[in-house]
Parts: sequence; structure tokens; C-alpha cells
Amino acid sequence: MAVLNRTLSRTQPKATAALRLGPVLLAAGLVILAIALLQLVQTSEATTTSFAIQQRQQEKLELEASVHQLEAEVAALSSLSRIEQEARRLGLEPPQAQESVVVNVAWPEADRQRLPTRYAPLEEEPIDVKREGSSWWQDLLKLLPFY
Amino acid sequence: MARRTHRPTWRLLLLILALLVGAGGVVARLVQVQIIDHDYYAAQAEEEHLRRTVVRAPRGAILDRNGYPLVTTVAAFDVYIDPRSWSDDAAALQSAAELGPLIGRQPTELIGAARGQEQGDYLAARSVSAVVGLQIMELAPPGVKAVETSRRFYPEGDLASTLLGFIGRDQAGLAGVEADFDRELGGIASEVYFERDALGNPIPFGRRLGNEPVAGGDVRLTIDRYLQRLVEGKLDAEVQRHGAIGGTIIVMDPKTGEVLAMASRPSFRLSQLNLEDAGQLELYRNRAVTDVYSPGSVMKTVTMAAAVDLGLVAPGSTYVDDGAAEVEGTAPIRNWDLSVHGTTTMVELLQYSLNTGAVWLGQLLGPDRFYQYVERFGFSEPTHVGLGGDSAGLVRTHRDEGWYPVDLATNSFGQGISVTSLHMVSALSALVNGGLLMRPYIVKEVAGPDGHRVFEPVVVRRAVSEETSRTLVQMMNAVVDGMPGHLAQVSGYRVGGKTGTTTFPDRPDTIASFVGFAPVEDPRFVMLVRLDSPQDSPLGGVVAAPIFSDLAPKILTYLGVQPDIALVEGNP
Repeated sequence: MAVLNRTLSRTQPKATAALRLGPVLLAAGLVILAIALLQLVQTSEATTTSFAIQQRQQEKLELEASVHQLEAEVAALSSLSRIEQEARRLGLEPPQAQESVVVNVAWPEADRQRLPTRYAPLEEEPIDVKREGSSWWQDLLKLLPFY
Repeated sequence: MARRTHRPTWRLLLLILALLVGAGGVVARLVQVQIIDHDYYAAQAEEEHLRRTVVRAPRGAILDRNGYPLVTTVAAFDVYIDPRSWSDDAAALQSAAELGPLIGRQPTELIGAARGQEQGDYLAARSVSAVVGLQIMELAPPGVKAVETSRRFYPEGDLASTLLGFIGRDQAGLAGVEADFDRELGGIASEVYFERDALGNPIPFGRRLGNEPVAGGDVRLTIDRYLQRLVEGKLDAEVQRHGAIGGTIIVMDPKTGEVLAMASRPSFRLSQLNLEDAGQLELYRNRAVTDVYSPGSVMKTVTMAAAVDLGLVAPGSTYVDDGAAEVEGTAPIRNWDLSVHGTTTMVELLQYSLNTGAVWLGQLLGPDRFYQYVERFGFSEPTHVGLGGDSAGLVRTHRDEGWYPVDLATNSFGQGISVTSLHMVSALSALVNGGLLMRPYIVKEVAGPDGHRVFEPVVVRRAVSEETSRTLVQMMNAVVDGMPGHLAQVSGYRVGGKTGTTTFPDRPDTIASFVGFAPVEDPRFVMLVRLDSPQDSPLGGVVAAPIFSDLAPKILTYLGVQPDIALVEGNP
């Protein structure tokens, strides 16, 4: 009996240790797995973002090239040689002799040429306090005295 | 039971010691590499992993005075082939078959050329359009790279080629405004570092360090594209019609010194520019600014202005023209047509362009006062127009060695003194704008990386009084409108001017010129017309004056100057 008791008392702590180690190992495994997953997700996220950035850069490049191309097209279409070409196509010809006719109207004012936006002078936009993007809570914040 | 104790033997101790020493060595080396020499090795690693490349800034545009682009930049692509990627026949053939049609080259020829490249990438096509470049990027044939670059685009074709100039392959300005305002147009390039693989190619999602380049600014000229096209077309036609070897036309606003149009021939075509052709070098300079010539009788207006300004003569003052002017140490100087006019007024002197009268005025002034006025009109210095090659006039005064009294005599009617066409048009502008010598300028505005600069008119000095200017305007009007049948007359407008015919002691040809202005009531422009070595007639009054007469009404109409209906030919 005493032997039995001794045996029991010896084996019980072992079972307790095994029971305690299991969840610890499991938890540790889960943590490691979570960290690995996090790392994987982060790397994947970074790669996706990097890819998206590269795509946007490519789009920017294409749009810039397109803007330049359009500007060049506008410039070419408004060139004097093209205007002359169109005028001739419409049957117009340079005058052979200049004739002066007096008409009772005001002399035309020199009109500002229509230019591609890039070349046109900057026009200041009127400052609109309530812009399109402002939301109800931003408006609410503006009511605060210290805002 | 007695326990056996294991005492380490000397062999074991030796082994442990050896391991400890070895480990210590490794640790020491790691400390050296990673801590002590960290910066050095980190830099080495960076250099190995990162590749540096210069990203050029997009070059700014050159605009006319109304903002129309004369030169602008469009996106383009250089196409490179990595010959190592084309070592496999099948892969190379597939890539070449995709690339060839896009850049207009035969696939087999492309493979041969790429494989013939001994070092680095092979440049398969330079400056292909953005459409083609982006198509290549999308197709991405193995071993092919489309590198973004830019090229200059000229919406107005070859207009103002010598004035605008051009850039080299490195995008740096080499001539004209492109070179003179290279810093403003060129912007600020940036250095970009990116991670590369073992072959030196960028790693797709690797690090990329560096700033964006700062785009070049736009340069707005004082040139008006309409007037420029008008004068260039006329100049080309007249050079051909008269069989001349070249010519120049400059149109200037006399009140501000703004150059409205400037054309010179011979010149080059921007659309057919070939920098490897040494024969074209002669065509690149802007002759209106760089080349000097003897202005001939146009100079008589300056001599007259000096004498009027000093109160020595008035328009009605007379001298006796006996057909020859005696000058110390040389044969008598005669009129260009060997005519004799007897008692002649100052107005008639200019109308008939009498050399004897100019010599008489020169002697009346004396060298001190004559050369003082030559300097006042800015002939002995560059015009400071802001363009490269701006030449000073060649003026030998009585203070210089080798000067003789005959020099004063010949200088008074524009021989033996050399100035640029721009000098002459500036001087005439001073004569008609109230007497102020304005600094000519060609750039109105620069919006560059350094900020925004606007160029304003600059008064260099007063050349003559306002009263003298008014007098000279009337006298020059009498030269044109007061002479029936003068070929510079313009229907509907009162105009003024003076012809000039430059002769050479060793050549039979001449330079025929006319400098005029309109309208007399309020001069809106001064125009110099010059043809070099015309074959049909040597005279400025025959060759150059009609060109002025043809261009002036078109310019005045464009500037919004209404004709005086009473002056219109055929008007009742």
C-alpha cells in the first residue's frame, strides 16, 4: 500500500507537468504561427502595395506622356501653317491687293489667345470656404469656439 | 559503487582551446566587419546593390509673345536591347519579331546588330514616340527596355530656327535661345538610386531612393509668330527673286526695344538638323546679331541727327554740292550717282542720299563730336540683347592708331564703319522714339526653377533730344513720302526711312538695305531690310525698299493701326 502510495505520489506531478506543457507548447506554436502569418501578410501587403505603386507610376508616366502629346497636338493644330492649310482648303487665298473700307464700328480689341492650359496664365480660383469634401462633423467642429 | 571521475586529458583541452581560439577569431572578425568597419562595408554593399541613374528634368517650352509654343517637349523613348538576354536564338527571334515592326527594323537585322554590341546595352531606336514606347513597355519583349526620354517638337516647323537654336543629344542647349537660356529651360536633373539584381537590372519591387527632377521653365519671347512668319516668308522669296546670297529682316518696337521679328538667311532647317554635318556649322549663327557690315547711307541719318542735335544745321540749312568733297590725303569723294545738285537743303541731302553732304556734315561736326554721337547710338559696344555672339561694332575713332581724316569722311556716310543689323535698327529706333536708345531684347519672361523673371524695357541713354527726334522723323518721312515714286511708300500710311547701299573696295557686289518706320505720327515699328549681294540691282532703294513697302501695311494692320483714308491711293 505504501509502495502504491509512493508510486502515485511520484507519477502525479509528472502528469500535471505534461498537462501544463501541452497548452504552453500549443500557445507557443500558435504565437509562432501568428508571427509567421503576420510576417507573411506584411510581406504580401508590402509587395501588393509596391506593385500598386509601380502601376500608378506607370499610369502617371502614361498620363504625362498623353498630356504632352495632347499639348503638342493642340500646338500643331493651332500653328500658322495648319491654319493656312485649312484656310486654303476652305477656298480662301491671300489678298492680292489691300483695300481700305471705312466702317463705323469700333476697332476690334486684341483677344487673348486660347492656349493649352500649361501655357495659359494662372487664374486664381475664388476661395470657397465650404468645399465639396467637407462633411457634417467637420461643419460641427467649426461651431466650436476654439476651432 | 565508486564513481569514475573523467578528468580532461591534455588532448581535449587542446581541442577546446583550438575551438575557443577559432570561435574567438570568428567573433573578432564579426566585430571588425559589423561594428568597427560597419560604415565602410555598408557603403560597399549599398554600392553593390544600388545603381545610380540621372533622371533628366523635362525641358521647358519657348513661347512667342502671345504664349504660342515655338518649341515644346514631348515624351519619347529610347529602346535598348540587352544582348545577353538574346543569346538564345528562339527567345531572340520572338523578341525581335515583336519589337522590329514597332521601331521599323527587320527582326534578323536587329538580332545581328544587338549581338554585335560588345559591351553594355544596344541602342535599337532613339526617341521613338510615346505611343510606340508605351506599347513596347506593355508588350515587354524579353531583353528589351524602353527608357523614357524626351524630344523637342516644333509646332511652327522651321520658324525662327537661328533664333531658337537647338539642343544636343544630352539635352543641353547648343545654339540660339536654347543655349543662351539653357539653365532656365533645362530644369534640375535628379539622381535616383534603385536596387539592382546581379545583372544590374532594377529589382521590380526593390528600394528606390531619390528626388523628383525639377521641370525646366518656359521662356516667353518678344517675337510674334505671325510677324516672324510674315518676314521669313518674304525674306525667302526676295532672296530667291534677287539671287542674293542672304539677307536679314528685323522688326522692332521702337518705344520698348522689343524685337518683334528677326530673320536672317542663310539659315538651317530645324526639321533637317544634322549635327554631324560640318557643312551646316556655318548656318547656325544668328547673323542679325553676330555679323557686322558697313551700313552705307543709312548712317547719314545718324550724322544728320548729330548735326541737328548740336544745332549746327536745321532741315532748311543749305550747303553747296559741287559733286565732289575734298578730303585731306585722298581723292575727292563723289556722290554715288556722280550727280551735282548745287545749293542743297539738309532734307534734299537725305532725299538724294548725297555723299558730299554727309562729308560736309562730318567735317562740320569734327571727329570729337561725330564719334561721340557714334558712341551715344551704341555702335561701339554690343547691344546686350541677351543672345550669344552679340557683336560690338567695328569703329575706328580719331583716338585710335591708323585713323586718317578720310575715315571721318567715309564713316559719315556709313563706309569704313561696321555694325550689326541689330545696332542699326536700335539706332533708328532711338531716332524716332523721342531720342532714347533702348536696349533691344528678345526674351520677355522666364519662368524657371529659380523663379519668375519679367524683362522690362531698359533705356540705355539719351542719344538725341526729343526735338531732334521729331525733326529727324519729319526729315525721314520727306525721304520716302516726299520723293514721288519712292519704292518704300505705303498706301494709307505716312512712313519714313532711309536707303543704304554698301559697296566693297575689292568686290563688285553690294549690300542693299532700307531702314524704315511707320506710321510717322506715332511709330509703332522700325524695320530693317537687308539683302546681301543681290544680282539684279545693287541699290537699297530698288531692292530693299519695296520689301518694306510690302510688309509695312501687313504689320500695321496686324498691330491694329488704322490707315488714314485720305492717304489711300485711288481714294477720291
